[in-house]
Amino acid sequence: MPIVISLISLLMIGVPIAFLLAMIAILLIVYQGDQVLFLSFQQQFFAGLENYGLLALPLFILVGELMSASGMASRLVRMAAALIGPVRGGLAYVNLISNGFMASILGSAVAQISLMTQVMTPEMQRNGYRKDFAVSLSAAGGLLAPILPPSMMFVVYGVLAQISIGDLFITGLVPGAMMLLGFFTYIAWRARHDNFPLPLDNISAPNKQPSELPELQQGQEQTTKAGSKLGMLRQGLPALLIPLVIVFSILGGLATPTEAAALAAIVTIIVGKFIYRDFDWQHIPQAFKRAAISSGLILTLIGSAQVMGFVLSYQQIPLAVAQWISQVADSPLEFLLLLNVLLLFIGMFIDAIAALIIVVPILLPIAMNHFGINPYHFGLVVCLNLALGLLTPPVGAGLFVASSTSGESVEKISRGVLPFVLITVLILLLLSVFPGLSSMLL
Amino acid sequence: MHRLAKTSQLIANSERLLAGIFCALVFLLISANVLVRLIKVPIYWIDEAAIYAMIWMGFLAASSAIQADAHISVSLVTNKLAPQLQQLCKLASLLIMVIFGLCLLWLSWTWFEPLLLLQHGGDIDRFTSTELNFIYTEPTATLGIKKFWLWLIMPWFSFSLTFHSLARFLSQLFDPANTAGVEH
Repeated sequence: MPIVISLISLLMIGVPIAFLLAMIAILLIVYQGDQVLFLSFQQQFFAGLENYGLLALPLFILVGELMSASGMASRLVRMAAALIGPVRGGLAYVNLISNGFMASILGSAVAQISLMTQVMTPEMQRNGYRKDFAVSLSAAGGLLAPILPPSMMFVVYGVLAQISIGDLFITGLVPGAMMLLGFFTYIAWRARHDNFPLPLDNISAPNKQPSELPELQQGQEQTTKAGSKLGMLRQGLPALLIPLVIVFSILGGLATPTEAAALAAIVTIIVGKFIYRDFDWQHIPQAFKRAAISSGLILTLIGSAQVMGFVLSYQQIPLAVAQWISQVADSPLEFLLLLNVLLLFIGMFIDAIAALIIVVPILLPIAMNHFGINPYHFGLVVCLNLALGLLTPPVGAGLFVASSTSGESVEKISRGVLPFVLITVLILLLLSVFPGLSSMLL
Repeated sequence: MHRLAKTSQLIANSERLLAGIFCALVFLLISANVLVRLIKVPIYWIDEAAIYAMIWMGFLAASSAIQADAHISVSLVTNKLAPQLQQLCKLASLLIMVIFGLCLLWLSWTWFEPLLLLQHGGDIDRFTSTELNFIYTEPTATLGIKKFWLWLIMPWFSFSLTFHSLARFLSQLFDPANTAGVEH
């Protein structure tokens, strides 16, 4: 109990989340008197990152940075707009479809929310949408990132569970499509109910840097006729090379998911420089620096979670939790439902990837050995559930990123994303009850 | 005070630059791996080198982010407090970071045991057999160097985390008006 109180107190006064778990690990060691663990504390911190799969993290974030520098994101939005056409609430659909494109490129929800909030919020505001709705929708679209391939959470889960990351990616396709459909249905209802605007026939030209976007908000003469629908589609096509390179290099056995991220970065530079001609070589050092900083924050969190997991394992806390769960649950369904409640709670307080690292080694053996649950199905349920934590206070990294990039308050965004969170919970329940939904493409 | 903040910024800028270089190294190594495999001349140490480059990148970036106040933290509660209480929470969280950094420094010290190594005249074999500390003998899997060279990032990270946190704590205490996050 004193440890839980310490955790909540440290969280509430604003201690960086990346170090929180390591601090709690130190407190746990002192509290339980297991000073011997201090001898390998630093080594565990380091060892938590000695993992090939984690290399995908900085590389996918790098792809995001390069995409924003080359104006590729804006072109994908224009292409999605051309695909949707003049439908009421069109830009809301465009937002989700673009998020789907991004999810299939970036793999990191936080990177995606950061990019999409910057690209879509000004566009939607100009088109007459309320800012809080535009930001909330962009943030909710981030929920697709952990499910649609290449998902960073799947990479980490695949490493932890020692199963094929490529197969995990395939497992995510059906639930990803279900989520998109669920979100579309909600938008269609809102569009009728709140009389959403029709899309304007002019969407801003691609921007070299998202940082230039605030100028568009001021209504200056920066909007240009976007050209024909065909032109918008044609302009977006080269950007689609990136997900194609990722998927086919993995499926063709040419590259691992990590290497596919590096190839995607190369393709982004080539497309940006030689096809779109918006990319400047000077963008590259800055992109590396930004990717290093963004991934450094997440990597420290993972190292911190590793130390925490190490201390918890030594004190046999996971075993106690495992015994309790296997006593309470009688069937795979009961286990999964209980798991969902537990993970929703954990996801509210701990970052998704850190929670994954803590939870999977404890619960996967129980799921497989006691209840005969397929590890791919288990991974999907756990990842989707923990992804919700991105958008739930108090530690929803997605909320904070959306808030800091848009200037909208966390409270307003939390309210706005609630319907999307509920839709995702519904899909999670469907997946728990019908496991065949996840394995139908395998 | 000003000098401490300046030094902290100087260190953080260097860390960011190095982190960027390590990120570029990760990218180059992983891309090279695909290429050398395609031309059927695989290089066995590339993966391990890329992993350690990523780890150095991560720790350098994480400590520099403390100086820039770029780490994610929960502000739902503190944002609702009066300015004086907000300042108090900020000071408390920075002080906790300083204490955490000092703990990490102490843990690095007890792990590397540099004084004991010196007492053994820098003789690693004698140090290992007497102290039963194998830190200086553990090898890397493919790189052909001892692992403690790579582990050296941990003492640096511990020092840097403490230094940046202390610099921000003192700035926040004596000059709260000028302590907003520094751009990076």
